[in-house]
Amino acid sequence: MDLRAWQMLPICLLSSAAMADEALEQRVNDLEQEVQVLREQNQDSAFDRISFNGFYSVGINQANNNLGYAGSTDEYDFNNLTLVGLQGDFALADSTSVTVQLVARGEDDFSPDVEWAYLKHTFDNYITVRGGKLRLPMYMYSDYLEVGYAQPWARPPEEVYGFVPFNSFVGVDGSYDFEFDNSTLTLQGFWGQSEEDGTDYDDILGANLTWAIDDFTVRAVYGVTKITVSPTNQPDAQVLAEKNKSDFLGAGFSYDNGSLLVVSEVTRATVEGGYSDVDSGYLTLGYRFGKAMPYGTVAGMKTQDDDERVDIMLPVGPDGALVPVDSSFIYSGKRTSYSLGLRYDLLSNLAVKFDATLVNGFGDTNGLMASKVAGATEDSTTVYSIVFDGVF
Amino acid sequence: MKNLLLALSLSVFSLSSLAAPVVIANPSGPDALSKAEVKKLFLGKLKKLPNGTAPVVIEYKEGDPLRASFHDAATGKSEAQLQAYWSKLIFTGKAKPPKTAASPSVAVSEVAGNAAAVAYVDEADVTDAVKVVYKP
Repeated sequence: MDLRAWQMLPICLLSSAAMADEALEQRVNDLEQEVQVLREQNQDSAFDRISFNGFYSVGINQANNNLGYAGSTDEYDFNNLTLVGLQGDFALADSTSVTVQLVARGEDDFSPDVEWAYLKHTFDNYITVRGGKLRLPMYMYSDYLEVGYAQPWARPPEEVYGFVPFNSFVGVDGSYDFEFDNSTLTLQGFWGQSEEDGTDYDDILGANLTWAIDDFTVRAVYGVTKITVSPTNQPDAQVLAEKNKSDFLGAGFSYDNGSLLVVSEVTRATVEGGYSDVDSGYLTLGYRFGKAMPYGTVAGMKTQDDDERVDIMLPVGPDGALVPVDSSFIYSGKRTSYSLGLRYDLLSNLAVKFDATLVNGFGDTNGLMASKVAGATEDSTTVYSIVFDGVF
Repeated sequence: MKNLLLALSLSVFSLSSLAAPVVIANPSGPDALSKAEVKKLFLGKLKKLPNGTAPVVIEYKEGDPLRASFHDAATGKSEAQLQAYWSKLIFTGKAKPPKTAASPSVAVSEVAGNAAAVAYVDEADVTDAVKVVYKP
């Protein structure tokens, strides 16, 4: 063999090795790209089946006296506004899932309550049916009542949101979205029962209609239930016989163009017999300046059936004997509240809210303050609150 | 002078229209989406694409500048409003947040590989494997 050919061989080998290197590098790059896409897809499909989300609020509040508005007293309290919620969503199939939401509240020593626990199925015609423990959809903010981050206020207006004593029920609901070009009309119907503090709410039946048109939302709701108070739950048993029919009617409006926020709701709740029939409402105005949103709320409530009060037996006679007492002091009343507050978005998932709420306008009533501390006789109260609300 | 001003304003205009991301779909996906459909799509409200398939929306992680500029133009919602909006849907069990892609090139690959996928990218990142269905 020619000597020169032998000399060429290592050069050939070298250059072909270099070419192989280049091809290899290209291949590795391609593979890396593919792995990245696959990894992403893999993670996403895992997320598709199971997801966890949570929310929390850490707050402090204090009032200038012991009228007990929204559970506040003249001493500072960390428990009132503090809570943590954790929600798990598990997809059983494409259109079927299970959702469980646990909420642990400071005022309950953080023992967790199940607030949502339902099986959900969406049919091919997009009707969604849920069964299990559900939120009672009475108000515009009912569905995310405790997700402070999704609300403008430090607390929902107490006159409207604080009156109905139960927020969840066990039963079924069905909903359907009518999609139009620029708006969505959602119809929801619900049926079930509930029990809270020894009071049974049977035959809960209702429907609501929500129309979202760009920045506007309009909502109407009607529901009925039959209320039975446990005989041991004095003095209520004498006011209310078994299965008293109760109606709830509500209307809501909101406008949010990203800067200006206007929210208003009015409600009417009636119960047969001596219990209160109450009209309530609020109006909130807010304006976002970047991350800061100052807001103001006026809210009020008033009983409408003061002439229907009956005497109840209370142990206030000599030696604790039961004597008939006019129940007006418990079941008749009115009040107005004025809130000024500021929401500031600290992070895209954490906001802080400062709020001062003045409550007055009781007239000659007790203002329907159920948690009033004995001996408090003031005719107005002011509550100061700071709360951090976040989601994760 | 007038021409210079015109040229300047035109170039500013074209720069800003360049900056707004475009919506892309799979070649076998829908041909075009309206502004209203795009808004509904990226707010989780669109149940099916014009061609009848259920959409798979691909988003970017919060804080991504592309996400902010797209939503500014398409849904009018700021990062904080989006977060509040999705919180409402998540905690009422009404919807789950969309998948997120780590980068525009990953979003393009995902759309190229899934007939139902829809995403948004800068016009410069569009490849032959996908088609533009909406320009803001």
